[in-house]
Amino acid sequence: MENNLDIKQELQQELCGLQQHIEHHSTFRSDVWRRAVERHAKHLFNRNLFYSIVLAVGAAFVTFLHFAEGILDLWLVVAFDFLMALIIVSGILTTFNLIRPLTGSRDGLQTLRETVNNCTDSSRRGNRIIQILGGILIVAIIVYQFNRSTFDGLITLFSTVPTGLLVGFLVNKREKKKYRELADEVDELLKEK
Amino acid sequence: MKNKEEKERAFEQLVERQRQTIYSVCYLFANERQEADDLAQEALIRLWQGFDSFRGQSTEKTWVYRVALNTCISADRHSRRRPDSNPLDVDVDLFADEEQCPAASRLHRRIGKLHPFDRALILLWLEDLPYDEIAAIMGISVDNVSVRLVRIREKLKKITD
Repeated sequence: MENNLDIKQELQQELCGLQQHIEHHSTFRSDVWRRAVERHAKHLFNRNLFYSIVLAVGAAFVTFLHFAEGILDLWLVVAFDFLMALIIVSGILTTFNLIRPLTGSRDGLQTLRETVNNCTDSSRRGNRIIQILGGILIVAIIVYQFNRSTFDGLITLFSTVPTGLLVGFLVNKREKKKYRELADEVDELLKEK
Repeated sequence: MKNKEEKERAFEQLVERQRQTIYSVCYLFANERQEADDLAQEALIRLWQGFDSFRGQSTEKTWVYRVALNTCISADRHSRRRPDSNPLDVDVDLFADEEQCPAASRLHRRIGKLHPFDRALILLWLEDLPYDEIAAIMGISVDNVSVRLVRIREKLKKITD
């Protein structure tokens, strides 16, 4: 027991020495964290841009396979293209959400952030539009499949509708959580005043 | 806009208050200065990302510890995807100038031999946090904390001997 205390005290003294040393020999410039976040956002943005290009090329290739070669069914092509578009939009919005709260951005990010502010303000509406378009597409695909055969229609119906509902549910849940947090924050600020 | 500026100022003040915690954790998990800078940058990003959700349910220091330790523990997995870092303003390179702060070097040598998860546990133990709080931060049971700490102390004694 005594040994345990000895080693704890020894280590605590060393940790204390380290922290005091850092306290006396460091100056945390206020812009360090902001530059870190900006750089990270730039990194994310570039990465998402790269992935978006790759996905867009993939979607174009799949579309080409259908129309030029007739290899893939139309509903598969539409579903794939729609999914790619969703991933691209979601990746871009993730990046936007990271830098959205920054007010002191500089350099090229300043312009980007202004765009972002407008984008994220309308992201709620954007999500609705995506959901409605998705819904229309799904209905169109189902009708198209029923026209081919009842079996194809039923398969499509039972595979796309639950997936669509699940995606919609998850997106809404995430959105509601974000807005609830924002509401809590506003409440706290009001209490302070 | 005002709220955002207030939030940024509040975050800057938090970083200023907790800079020793952030940098000491990063120092103890790194092998060289560049690595410590990278970890500190990653920790700052995660702190900023989580700043909105920090509701003061734990103390500020505990929250900073939680984020910094989690960042350092999972750093290996993300090291390849990390962008270049901004150097922090620390006058002395703790890795190069051992004489400047012998306590730091000793601690680094002893704790550095432990597994990252054990290193995190021992740091929280040294901060005199209660076991239930350590358990909550590390995501393990209280019993597990106490068992692990006994083993780590044995290891440390052997290292010291």
